[in-house]
Amino acid sequence: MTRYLVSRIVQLLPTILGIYLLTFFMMRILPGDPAQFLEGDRGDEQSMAETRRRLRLDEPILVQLAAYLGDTLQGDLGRSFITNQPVSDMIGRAFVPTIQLALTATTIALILGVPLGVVSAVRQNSIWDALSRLVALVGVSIPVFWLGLQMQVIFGVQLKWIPRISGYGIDERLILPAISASLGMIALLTRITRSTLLDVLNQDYIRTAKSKGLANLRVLTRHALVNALLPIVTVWGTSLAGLLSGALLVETIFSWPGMGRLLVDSIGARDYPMIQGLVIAFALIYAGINLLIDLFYPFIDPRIRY
Amino acid sequence: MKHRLLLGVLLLLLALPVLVLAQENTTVTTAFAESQPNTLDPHAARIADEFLVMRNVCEGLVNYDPVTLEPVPALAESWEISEDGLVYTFNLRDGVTFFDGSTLDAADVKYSFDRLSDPALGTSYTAGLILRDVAGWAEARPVAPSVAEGTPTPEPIPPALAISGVAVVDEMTVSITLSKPVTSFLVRLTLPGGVIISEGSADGVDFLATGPTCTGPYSVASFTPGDSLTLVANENYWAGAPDVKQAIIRVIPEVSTQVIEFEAGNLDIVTVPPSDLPRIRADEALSAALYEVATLSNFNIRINLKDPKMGDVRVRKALSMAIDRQAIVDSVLAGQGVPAVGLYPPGLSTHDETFNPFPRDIEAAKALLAEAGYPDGIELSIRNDQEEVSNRVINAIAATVAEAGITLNLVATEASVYTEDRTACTMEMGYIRWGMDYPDPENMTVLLLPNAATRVNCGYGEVDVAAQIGELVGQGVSMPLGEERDAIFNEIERIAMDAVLIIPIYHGVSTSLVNPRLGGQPIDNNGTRRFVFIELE
Repeated sequence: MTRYLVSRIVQLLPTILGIYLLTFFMMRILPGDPAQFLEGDRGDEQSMAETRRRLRLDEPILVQLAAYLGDTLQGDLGRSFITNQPVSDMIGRAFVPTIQLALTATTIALILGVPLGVVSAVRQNSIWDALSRLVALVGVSIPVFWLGLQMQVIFGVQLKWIPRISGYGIDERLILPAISASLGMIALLTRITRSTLLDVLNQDYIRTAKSKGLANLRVLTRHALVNALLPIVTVWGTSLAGLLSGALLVETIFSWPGMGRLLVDSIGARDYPMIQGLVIAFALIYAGINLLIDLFYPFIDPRIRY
Repeated sequence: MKHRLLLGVLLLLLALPVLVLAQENTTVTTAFAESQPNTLDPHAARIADEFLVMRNVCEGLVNYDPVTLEPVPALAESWEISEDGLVYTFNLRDGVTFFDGSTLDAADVKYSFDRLSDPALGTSYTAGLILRDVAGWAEARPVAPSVAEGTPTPEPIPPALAISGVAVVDEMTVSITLSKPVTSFLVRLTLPGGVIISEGSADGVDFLATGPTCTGPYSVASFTPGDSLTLVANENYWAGAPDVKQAIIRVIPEVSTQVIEFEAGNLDIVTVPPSDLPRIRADEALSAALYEVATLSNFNIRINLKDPKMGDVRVRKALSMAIDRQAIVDSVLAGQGVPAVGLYPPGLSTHDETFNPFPRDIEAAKALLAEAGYPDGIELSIRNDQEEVSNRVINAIAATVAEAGITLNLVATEASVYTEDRTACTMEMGYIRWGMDYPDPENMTVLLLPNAATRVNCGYGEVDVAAQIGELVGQGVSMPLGEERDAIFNEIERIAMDAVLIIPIYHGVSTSLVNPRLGGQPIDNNGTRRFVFIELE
């Protein structure tokens, strides 16, 4: 187990380095220049040159890479071109709201998505099945942007159930963004639960359990659901990782100061140090959650051992 | 006794909501128009959201009148200008205190302007606008040798870190010496970069956390990036404490959400995008809250004069004559604008209602194109960034010029890609949303000059009227305000429009929703929210 952990972490290092280098060169191949962005329409040639020097963009690209990489290895991600604040501080500030939103949304999705999938598998082709399929369809096809604004108008302006409809806070302001962010996941979880459960329900051991005379509920929870859990956990985990790297649209509509907005703003401004830092953070998040899921597998399926 | 106590408590409880209400009523909540400030350093501020904070927190020697936009005394009580127009002597106001308790004197002024001249500070173009004609600018900002990525940089000339033209005369007097007479200097001093901060207050301080140490009607109480910025009234403000005691400016990136928050009663002032206007006008309560300010702006098409097609004045003129500006203002902008046919927006003394060089004439446009060698029509492309309203404006332009046989294709890319290509002169035309930096016609002529904003004006130095325009601008800049000066700037406008150096589309109008409980002038004629001018009943 420990050996497995160590080897996974060691494998991670070249991956992160590769991602780092790829981002570094991709950002510089991409058209668009951070100094141009900062100077906008007003700057003249002289102030452009001053800005390029201040941001060290006038240095040869390999010198820039060496400087960046050296600082990064010492744990210094540099300062944002735009705000001149330390990149690590800015990521840290955006990470807390992001994790709060992601955990709330994935919890909602878990609470609603799995039972819907179960009902729909157990009562296959019933009205409940049709209904849950409808929910899933709506969940994946409704644009979050439209839904978010509609919910703001309905619950904030017309019904006045939610006094504060946008902004950051662990109070009523979390409700609408969490629902918006969870919708796609609910759909996904419902579908995956339904299909894997249907698969499991047709297995011989379920028939055996039923013929032993076990109660239906017990068959479902102890024999069927546990065996269907693996893909559900996997989907849930990757969705969580996706939300942790920012739910851009939801964050924008609800003024939620998370990582998605930070990333998109940074790319637009060609804020190299910020992009570089965020990419590393996302790589670590994905790798970390994947690792956690893998470590969780043996608890679900005793045949898996590390 | 017991009963009386109970009664007292009850009365207090009854009074509580009133007290709370009274307290809330002196708070105004609004949202940043674009995104949020990246800096709270007035000398590095460069975007509208930063200016909003600075205009409410800081002041310079002079400020602008909220209605006429003319310079009025602020930290300088009065000033004299030498006869040759080169030396400005400012007498400072007595008894003005900074947020840190220190009293304003000449050393603070010197400190602030020296700081503004420091190239290491940031990228505020307002530094150049304020100081470029002040003696010592060349030493403060030595011209850097040109640099390109991948080439070794020559050793830069060290900057002076001070601006020698700004001098302390005595404790309460400051003189500013210009390198040439510039009439608009006083107006330019009202720019956010011209504000005075307490001497030494910037050293080792992170302004983003504390806000600047200024003298204005409000100070920054807190700023949580991504969330909100809170201003509190300066009770010691020299012009009297403001009515509004607290102003909260929230970060709400999505404009539609801002309008919804206004409707939910959570915001007192918001900007309205044109797409929401028809719905708001149809609603009685909301339309009563509409507040319109004409902005000093010119939304126009800048041309790459080096391009073979656009280098031909007949093509430019045909395009300009084929545009139905009124239709665009009425449809896409829902009336938020005034058709533009020249340089100067309404509100400037040089704006001429009768000037109309491009009456819409499809036949004349077709004839011009045929003469230029395009009898079967012409295909042109225009670049822009991804701002939604301006792209809809361009699509509407394309629809109206199609009648004259002009196929106009819009290529919209990210802002940084767009600016880079515009600088490299690789496009035929680019759309520009130009808001004036300060209310003087001189600021509009920047669009025509090759060296004022070199990076964006392709081929403007080679066009045959360039020398003439340059000379006239040079004359106009140093002439005293008045009809004679206006005549020079109108002459520049006529020459520029004859040569169709830019294609103006419209002058902007900024439309906001303002809670009717806010009296006074919540938004000044510059389009800036100024909490100090709000009157509460």
